[in-house]
Amino acid sequence: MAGGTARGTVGVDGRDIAYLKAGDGARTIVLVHGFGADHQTWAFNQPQLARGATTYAIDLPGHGRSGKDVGNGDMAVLAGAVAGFLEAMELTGVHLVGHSLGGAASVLAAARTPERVSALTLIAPAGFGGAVNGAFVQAFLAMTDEASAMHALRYLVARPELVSPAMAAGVLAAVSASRGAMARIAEAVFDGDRQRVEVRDVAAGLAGPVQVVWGEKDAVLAIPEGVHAEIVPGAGHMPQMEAARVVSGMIERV
Amino acid sequence: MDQDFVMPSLGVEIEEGVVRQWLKAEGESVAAGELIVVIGTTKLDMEVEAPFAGVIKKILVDVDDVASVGTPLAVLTTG
Repeated sequence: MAGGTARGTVGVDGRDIAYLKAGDGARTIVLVHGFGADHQTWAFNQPQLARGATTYAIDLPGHGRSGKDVGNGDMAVLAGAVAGFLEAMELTGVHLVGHSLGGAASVLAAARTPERVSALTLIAPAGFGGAVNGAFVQAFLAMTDEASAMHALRYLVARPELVSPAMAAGVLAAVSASRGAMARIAEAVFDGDRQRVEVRDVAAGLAGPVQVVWGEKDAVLAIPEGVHAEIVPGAGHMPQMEAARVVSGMIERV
Repeated sequence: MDQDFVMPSLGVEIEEGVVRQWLKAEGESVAAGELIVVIGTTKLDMEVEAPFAGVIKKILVDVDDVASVGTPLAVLTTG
């Protein structure tokens, strides 16, 4: 792809925030993964997006190659990491794309640095009301082997038969390396089936366009009532992976 | 005319994939955009569409075999 890919790390609030950069186009897209994931959430999207933009897929604190210190693990830490990344990299006119908990973090980051964010795409975002599937969070944090990893991942996608053994092994390794940090975040943002995070009003107050995208068969965060979302047919909680081309197109359209 | 159907670009930092399932057999025709093969990646497995129409003349990479992005997976006879 144009400009190739490059890994990097930048210091934010005393934490290392890792990112994968792809492309060198005039537009700037920053991709923020959800709870328990990392920049690879966007592996199927980044090549397409990088054809017309400079894209950065970041790792949130406690995830991927970023630092494991998450402080008290609450939204201020996660949103601070996203906003701090934009500041540290001196990015402006950013289209911020957040998935799930990363969607809530993106809304709060946009509110904190409105001069740097021009548009938002939120994919099955947390913080818009409705329940979270607490059984998924519990199963995710409790995975100890490939079978239990596979069990947890089955909540995420509408067609679990497409979860590859390599994906289960990769997620198991990631959770094993970050279980404490992830548990702290889960404790701070979820309470069983209840979300402690609420960003809908903040999103409504943002100046730029906010596009919301949701998988038709999401079993982790159901589409809350009253939210206007672009529906991705047949997809679960990971539409950016389950219907990569469709969702990449939705992102490019903004 | 014979034309190679190659392993498509799978994703950033994903250089190769494994053939999980051929959805078409040798001798069968496939339309452009029709699903032709399931490729296993380090993430979700991917159902791949045929980029052009043709009849499958020969499958070059068997199920469970690994191929790099850009490697011919099958030969199709077109037009």
